[in-house]
Amino acid sequence: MLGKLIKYEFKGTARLYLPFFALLVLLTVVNRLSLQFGLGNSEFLEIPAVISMMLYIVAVVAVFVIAMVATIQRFYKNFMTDEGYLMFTLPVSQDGLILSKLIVATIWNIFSVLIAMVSLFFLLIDGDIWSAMIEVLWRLPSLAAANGINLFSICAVILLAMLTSLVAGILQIYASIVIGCMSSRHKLILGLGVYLGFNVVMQTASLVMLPFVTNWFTAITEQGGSPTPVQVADFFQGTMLYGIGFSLVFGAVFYVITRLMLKKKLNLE
Amino acid sequence: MENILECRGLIKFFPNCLALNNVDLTVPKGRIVGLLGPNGSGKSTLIKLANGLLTPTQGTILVDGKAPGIETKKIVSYLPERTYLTEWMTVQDMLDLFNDFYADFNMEKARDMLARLNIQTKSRIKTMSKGTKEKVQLILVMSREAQLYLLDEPIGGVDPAARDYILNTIIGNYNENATVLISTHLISDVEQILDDVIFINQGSVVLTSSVDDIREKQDKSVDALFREVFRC
Repeated sequence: MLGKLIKYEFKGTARLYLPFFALLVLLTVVNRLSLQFGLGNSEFLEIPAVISMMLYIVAVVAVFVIAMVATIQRFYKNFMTDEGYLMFTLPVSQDGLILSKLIVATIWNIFSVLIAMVSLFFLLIDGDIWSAMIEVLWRLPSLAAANGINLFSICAVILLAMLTSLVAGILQIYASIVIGCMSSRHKLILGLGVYLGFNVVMQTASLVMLPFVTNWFTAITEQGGSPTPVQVADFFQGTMLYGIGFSLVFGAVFYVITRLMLKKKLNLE
Repeated sequence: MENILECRGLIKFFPNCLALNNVDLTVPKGRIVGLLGPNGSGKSTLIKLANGLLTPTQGTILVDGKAPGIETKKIVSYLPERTYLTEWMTVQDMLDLFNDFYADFNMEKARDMLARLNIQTKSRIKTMSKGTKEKVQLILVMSREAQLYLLDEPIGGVDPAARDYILNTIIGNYNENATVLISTHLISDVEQILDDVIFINQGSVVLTSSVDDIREKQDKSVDALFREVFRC
């Protein structure tokens, strides 16, 4: 059933994302050609070239905004408004409903970042940058190996940290929406307040964790001399792991809140 | 299990409002039951509880002997009192969705009924009138071969001609073991198809009876009895 839910969730979200992706691709191509042929230097085409570059920047921003808006809107509209009458009477579990939304939103959010990166890359790439990048990528593994650093594990930790914080961020939105919807009149204000409240709690928690990190760092530097590359890499990985743990704990809390509220306090009007 | 729906000491509190007050109720299989009461009497609340859209404050509600959950949702076909169709979908999308999620959905039946009402499966929900949306929704709900149909105000928003069509659809589309619970305050319209009635007022069941009993023993129509019981 989760598969079917995911299928419908993709269907429901594709129509929100794809137009913006298409627009970004189009503007990337236009601006790339404009840069390639130096249209900005010609007298007649200077203004169109500038305008298309501005539109491009707007489109990049729009891709991120729509990711945020769609994440909120899909959950709210599909669950908390009239559409909820259908969703919550389907013979599927509460977990299935939440997970399908979460998985699809995560994939779209990652895709938004990727498409923006690829677009920027495509827009700016030229022979020099390309060869420089190749060289760095070529030399990095041997450089890391020479210093005893496991490049693979560092990359894995960075990606995992990004993924967990994205998932926790989406769950934070969901939890805020379900609590916000407890209010019959001030859903938006309550939801926003709850979201900010969660932020305060998370920041306080990270402040509590901060001394551990700084102590560790002092411990390294107090050994005298400058820290070795391995120590720096360990420290970096360690803090990333802290971050992952942090996201996992808060993500779990937000998930439990969302699930509990949908199960016990669902209050469709 | 003889009863398809059973409530024991069911209480539902909303902030500042007691929606259901200690309801004890059994609905046997194979009946068409009218859940009748004035506006705000608790009809929709009871139906939402049976669908698991609300949770009881106290007491139990059982569908086919089970608390509302995945298993009961498989056998309950619910028509809410509002349209839950997804605006951007086409009728075909909705048919596919029902077909995907409900094992008891009869696609052929649904297509037949849509064709008879001249509703194109290609048309988008967004472009439809309120009445047409209600018809589409009713067709979706009645095309399931469910054990229990919970119809909340199925005839509220449509014209009298469509009303007849809908009522015929309801009686024509359920099997003998299935139960239909219709909530409405338009009693004279549904009276002819009901086997039993449940009168509900201010969250309490005030009367349960078979329609034959009302007609024979009290020599009244359900409509007349309703007006008597709920005189303002």
